[in-house]
Amino acid sequence: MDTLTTVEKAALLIEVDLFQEVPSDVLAELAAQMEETAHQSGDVLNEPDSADPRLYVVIEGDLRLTRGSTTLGRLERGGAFGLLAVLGIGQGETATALSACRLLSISPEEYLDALADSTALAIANLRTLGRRLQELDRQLSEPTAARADGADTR
Amino acid sequence: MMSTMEPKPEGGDRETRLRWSLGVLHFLVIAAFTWARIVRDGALLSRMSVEWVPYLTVAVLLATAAVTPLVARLTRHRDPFRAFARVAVVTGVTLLLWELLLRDRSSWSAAALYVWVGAYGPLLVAQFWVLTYSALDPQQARRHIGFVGALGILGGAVSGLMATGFTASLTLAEVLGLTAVTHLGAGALALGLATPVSRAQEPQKAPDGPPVRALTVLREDGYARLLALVIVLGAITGGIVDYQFKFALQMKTTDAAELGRWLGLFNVAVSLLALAAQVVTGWLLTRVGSRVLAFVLPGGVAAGAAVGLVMPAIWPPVLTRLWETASRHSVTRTANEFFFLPLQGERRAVMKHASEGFLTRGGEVGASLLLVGLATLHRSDLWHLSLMALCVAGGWAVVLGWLSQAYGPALSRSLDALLRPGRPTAGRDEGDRSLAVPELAKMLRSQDERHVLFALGEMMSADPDRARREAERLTQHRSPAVRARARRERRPPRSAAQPAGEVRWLTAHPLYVAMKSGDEARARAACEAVVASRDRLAAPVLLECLQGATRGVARDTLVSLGDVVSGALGDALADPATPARVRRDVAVVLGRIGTASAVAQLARVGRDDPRPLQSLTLMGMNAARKREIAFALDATAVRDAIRADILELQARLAQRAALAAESAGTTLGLLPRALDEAVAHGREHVFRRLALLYPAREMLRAHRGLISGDERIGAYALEYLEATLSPDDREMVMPVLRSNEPEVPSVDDVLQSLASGDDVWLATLAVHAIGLRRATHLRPVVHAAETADPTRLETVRWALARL
Repeated sequence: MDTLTTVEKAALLIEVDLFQEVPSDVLAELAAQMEETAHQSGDVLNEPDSADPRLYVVIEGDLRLTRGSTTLGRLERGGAFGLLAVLGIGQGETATALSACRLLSISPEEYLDALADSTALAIANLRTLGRRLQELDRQLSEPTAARADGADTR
Repeated sequence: MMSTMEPKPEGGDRETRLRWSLGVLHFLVIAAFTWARIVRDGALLSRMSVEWVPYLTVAVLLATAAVTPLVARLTRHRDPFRAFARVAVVTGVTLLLWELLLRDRSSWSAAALYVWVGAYGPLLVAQFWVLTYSALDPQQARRHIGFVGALGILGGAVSGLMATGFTASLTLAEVLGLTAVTHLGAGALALGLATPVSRAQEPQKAPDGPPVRALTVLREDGYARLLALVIVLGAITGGIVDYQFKFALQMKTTDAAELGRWLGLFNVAVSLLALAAQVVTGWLLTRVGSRVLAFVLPGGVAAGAAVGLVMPAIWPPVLTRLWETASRHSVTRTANEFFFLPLQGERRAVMKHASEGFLTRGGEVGASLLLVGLATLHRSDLWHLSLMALCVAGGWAVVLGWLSQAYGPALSRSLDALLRPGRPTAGRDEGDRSLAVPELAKMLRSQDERHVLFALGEMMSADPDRARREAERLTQHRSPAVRARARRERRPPRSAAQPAGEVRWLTAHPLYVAMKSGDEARARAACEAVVASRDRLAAPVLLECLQGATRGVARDTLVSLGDVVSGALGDALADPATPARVRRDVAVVLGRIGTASAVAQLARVGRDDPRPLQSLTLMGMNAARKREIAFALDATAVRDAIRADILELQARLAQRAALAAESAGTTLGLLPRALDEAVAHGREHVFRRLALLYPAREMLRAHRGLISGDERIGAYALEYLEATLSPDDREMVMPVLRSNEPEVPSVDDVLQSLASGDDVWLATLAVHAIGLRRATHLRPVVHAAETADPTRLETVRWALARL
């Protein structure tokens, strides 16, 4: 299978909630820094306290996010994980490929460089984190509903 | 998305209905008020001497003071249509009572009617305009206010003509009965319109809490005070001109029927003149703006008064009054209404009532006092009255000039309040900033060296010249740290660029070694040493370190070095060979340094440079303008850049429209989105460049208003631009902000044009779209698009493989 061009990577990034409000030319610069990798079913990515934390975006395939023995959710095309890890906060989740999958990824250094470069990217990240906090808050105040919905703590 | 640029078909029908409703209502209001004034003046001049007028004016003031709170009570917390209906019905009923009173032909009933009409009439008209301006936003007002005003004037003409005929067969009292019926009709019509129009307009929820009082508004708002002064001076002028007119009229006749016929004819003449003026008002508004139009009235009165000085006869006062009344009801009414726009919500309604209430009545009382003074001096003849009118009209024009200057900034503060409801407007902040330098100067006298160092640093940003003068004195300070800092700061700014030169020595530089050691503490220590020694040769090393882990430290160090390195940074910024990311960092650093010489370096980025870099440099220069840092700027070059930006914006709008018409959006990839972004960037650049020529904070606020997505706020922003831009700039900028029907090229033309254009990202996406669509006929364009840009090159190869 052909690897994606930078424009195709940028088009994929626009599908990711983390980047939806980011200008396309900024995404293209980010996309140019992202590495495309293929993984087999059962491969484990982004374990807690990984020595090589990265931000991943799913191009194709399914992944499962877990914390310990608890399944937190599934990720498909356009799903992203590892944001907290690249921001240096650490991450307690493990991502495991459920099928053969292709991913884009970027190192913390490159990602932080991109953040420093673009206010729009930084604001988009803040908004995403803010939304997740709101969601978490909602789940904490409505524990029953949260269990029914399935939590997303990426 | 800028709402003003989108077509609004549904809004058009609603606007037409609203336009006619308001026009008919205005017709009735002015017709009724004209009859009331004819009856009032006819009854008075036939039963009493004109010399009573100044005293009756005082009575009008007292009556107005009593009536205004009642009107406020009738109208508060009601939608403007219902509020108007209540006022019209209540005053209509009172006029029926006056009709009975007037039948006894006594002097006191004429005097009482004079007072009552003077008190309620302007308040009813004011309530109509409150209704009108609550139903229209500033841009709708520009489109429809001329029409609404014209129908009102038509009402004046028709009623004047009818009154001239009536006086042959009806008594003045019977004409007053007709007036009362018209009031009731206007009230009923407003009530009928209330539900549909109010619902369509979705008026703001009535504010909770205590009512806003006019005196509170006047105390808190300098603009409102200036507006009040203009109103008062206008009323004084009007009072004097009115007295002159009545004086001249009574010299001619005291017969009631003759006076009624005369006043009827006069009102017809006023209305016809006003109608003619109103016809050209829209055109004049567009050409010269409301602020210039407002001078028509005082200018005309001054001219008439000057003629009266040369020729003290009956006709100059009559013609002056004709001009005064006609323009007050047409051009000036329209122009003056715009001066109320900066006042929002209840504050505007309160000021409108105050304007037609105690301010105008107060002005008229002021005129009365002047007239009584003149009579006391036995100088109440036409020549002295003309002299007085000339002086007062001159003063009015001067204050109007001040108000015109204050209009733009006040409108911008109003826009700020709309954009950020609940927050204080920027006015206070701006005031605080103006106090910053004197406060910093006081801090420089502090015993605490930390205060002194802080103040000196801040002052270097805010007022470098003053800071250098202060630094001269501080070289004798008891603190060694302050003395060292003062010695550094008093050096003149270095504007000459330091060439980066060959950097073979760079990797051997101790700073570079420290920065790349991976030891953050060591890197920071090396940077502090560089800053302490103000080593300008560190600039190329730090530029080399603007990446990865050392990026933040390098940027901060460059900022700390300030003007010492601004020349070298300017060279790097202007050099296309410098990596794009480094150039953007340099732009940010220069903006953060923020001195005049650093900001001047930002101007070295031209329109040929990448769009993100242009944005950053413009942001840096705008920030400097907001801090009132004076830096060299070529206004002609800025205007040329705006012109080029606008041409590009127009092209992008047309291209976007072409792609929007394309049904198979998926074959265009990211291109439509990137074009949207280019349009947004283009518009932002226009405003950021305008912010270099006009008040930066206000201009950027206008941009925020335009892109807010709220039609009403967008209309305020456009009104601010209309009021602020010079005629040439207005002509250059406004069409592209208003236009919603660009000429749409074909999609192929768009792709071809973009693929061969200067914008690398759009060209890349155009090539990508050509590849996606397998548009083989465009293959030559793809071939021609080969460049050094890696993403574009990659896309060209990808597209060629598909074609």
